Amino acid sequence: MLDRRALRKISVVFWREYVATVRTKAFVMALVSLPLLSLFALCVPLLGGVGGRLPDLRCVVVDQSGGKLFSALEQAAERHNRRLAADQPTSPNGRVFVEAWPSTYDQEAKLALSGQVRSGELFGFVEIGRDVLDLSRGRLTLRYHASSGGQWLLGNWLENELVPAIHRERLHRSGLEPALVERARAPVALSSEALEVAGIPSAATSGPTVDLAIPALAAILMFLAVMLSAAPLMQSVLEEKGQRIAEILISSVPPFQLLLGKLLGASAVSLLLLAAYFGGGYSIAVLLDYGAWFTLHNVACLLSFELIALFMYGSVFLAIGSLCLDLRESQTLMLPAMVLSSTPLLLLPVVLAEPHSVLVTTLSLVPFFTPVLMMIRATLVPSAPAWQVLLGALLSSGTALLCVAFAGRCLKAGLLSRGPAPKFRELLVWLRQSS
Amino acid sequence: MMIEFDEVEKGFGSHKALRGVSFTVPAGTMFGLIGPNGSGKTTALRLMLGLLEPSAGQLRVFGATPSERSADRIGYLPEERGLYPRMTVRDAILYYARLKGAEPSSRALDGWLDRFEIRKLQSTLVGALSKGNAQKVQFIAAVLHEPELLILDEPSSGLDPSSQEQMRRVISRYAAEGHTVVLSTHDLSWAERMCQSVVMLHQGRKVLDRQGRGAPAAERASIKVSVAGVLPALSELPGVTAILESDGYHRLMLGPDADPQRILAVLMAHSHLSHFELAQPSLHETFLQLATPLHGSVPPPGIGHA
Repeated sequence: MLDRRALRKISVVFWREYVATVRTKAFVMALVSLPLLSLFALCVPLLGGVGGRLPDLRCVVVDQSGGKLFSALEQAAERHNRRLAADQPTSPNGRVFVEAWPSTYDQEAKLALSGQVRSGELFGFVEIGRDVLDLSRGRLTLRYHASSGGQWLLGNWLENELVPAIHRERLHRSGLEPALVERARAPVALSSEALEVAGIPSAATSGPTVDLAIPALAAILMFLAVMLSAAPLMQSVLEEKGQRIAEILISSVPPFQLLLGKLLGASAVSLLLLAAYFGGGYSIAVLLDYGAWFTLHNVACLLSFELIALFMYGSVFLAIGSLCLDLRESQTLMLPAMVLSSTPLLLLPVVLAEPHSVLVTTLSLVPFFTPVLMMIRATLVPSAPAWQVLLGALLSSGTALLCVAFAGRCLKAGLLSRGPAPKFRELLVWLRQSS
Repeated sequence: MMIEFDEVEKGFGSHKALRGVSFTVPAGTMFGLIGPNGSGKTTALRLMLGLLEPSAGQLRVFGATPSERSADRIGYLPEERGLYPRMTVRDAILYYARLKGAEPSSRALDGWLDRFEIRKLQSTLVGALSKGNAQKVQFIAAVLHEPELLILDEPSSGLDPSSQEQMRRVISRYAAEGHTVVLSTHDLSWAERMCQSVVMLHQGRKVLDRQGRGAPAAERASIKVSVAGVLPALSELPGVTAILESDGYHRLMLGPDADPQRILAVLMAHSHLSHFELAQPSLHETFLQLATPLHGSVPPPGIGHA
């Protein structure tokens, strides 16, 4: 058991680790870079106009249906250009110019038009078949050709202007009033709403999309906070070995107490990061009326699983650091640890699609995946059954304790070693000797 | 006794770092541990600190098996300095003292900084210190919590001559205050001048145990002679293991059974003797004899040919 003296030493190590990390430039950058990057990502769409104006769409229309559709496109282009000139002088969109193909459209004509597109004389050309207005035809395909860099521009414009024009002309030929049909076919929106939560006004609930997005975002932030705090543990142990500090440390503090102090220091760093990220996140969520996720239950789940993850992965990273000679050597051992720790994030789409399926439930009970996956499942509406959350917490806590015990032995055996990382058989001998 | 080694062995896989080593260190004395590189000194120190456990034999520090409690009563200066480069001098020293469970006063710390004349460096980052100053900082970190037992591994390395003398005085003063000091060093003059007892290790075995000042009779003495003409052959000089020549003198290295009277008789019978002086070996000579047996000499007891 840890007596008062041991607790004091642990607190001394804890404080040094905490201060040594939060005073680094890397930590400050990690603290501010994520919100800044998020802000940048939000602002990118607003910066669209800065990139310059899109090219003008000069295209040839091969209308073999009688010419009415070309006229419709010609009018649409004029409307577009007028609107662009009058209402949207700062719009990034280019103007649209359409020309009718005057002669026979055959293979030679196609080759000639393709040549003009390649030379930049034309942006593209579109083929409108003879039977496009024939009501007996089922699904039709309209073919258009454009330079490969801007196919989507012409496609979008045709989608918005040519397809409705075909529909209108077909209705007209059928004797139906297009405006009347338009009203009859007025869109019926489907709105996905959240389930009712006792004590929370309906208006405050956010809807399934947001209910899924916030736990997923929380899981990503949790993962980042764990990695940003746990990975430096490995570097600090490597530094202590390299600078010969380790020998003095373990001549004063038993390896297990040293380990606990370091893990607690990293936990404090991690909680600080989480507090900063979630403080900002909560403010934004409240502003957007999405604050309902931040209940005491959800925050408690987040913090509990965060600490479990940190002790689990932090111990593994510390063990790796204590067994290796330098950073390069440690990277070989870090790979499987990083794959293991990031697997839950790769599973996010599966988890969000069916959070309570048998597969996801089973995966969320695998201790190394539990912190991220169970945190998501526990904070969804409806959430995972309480027994699953408790079982996951128990299994992952037990695994975290095993990792701590393993790391303690590695620290005892590895801190004084000067050679390269031991092979598996040597490691077993070390661990047996250090027990 | 402050430290008791009783037939202590320590192995790392197939390598035996210590082989049945026994010695004691009385409380309040300064004890020297010498030996060539790889002789097992650092392993012995780590055993005292409780960083390692003996494979066989008994080891007691403060009358008990080394433990966390005993570690707090020990100050340790390792051979290779270990300080966090991004900590200030003051913070680094206080951190190590706190790890020993102590909460030293500012006055005590200032006193030590003054003693080494480095108080003005207290806010300097450790990484910016010279090797010598880093050594002084490391020493202060080892003694600030006033340990009863101070273990020093090469305390003079990296120091210029005046700083070495400063360090020697500080260590002597610390020992004179009644503390026990274990000094592991290659500087044999330090061990000879400062230590009441010296143990030498070689290839994991104890090959010398000099208790009290002065060499015991068992250690190989030498005879410094000056003769006109040619010395008798080595085989004609009973008990002489080697003949060295320096400064116009011959030094006859004596084996354990050598009788100076018989050697004197042989020399007088064969040549004109102008100088004959029986000399006790210095620690340096003993070290050389034990650690690097000379050509023509017999190996010292307990040492096999490498």
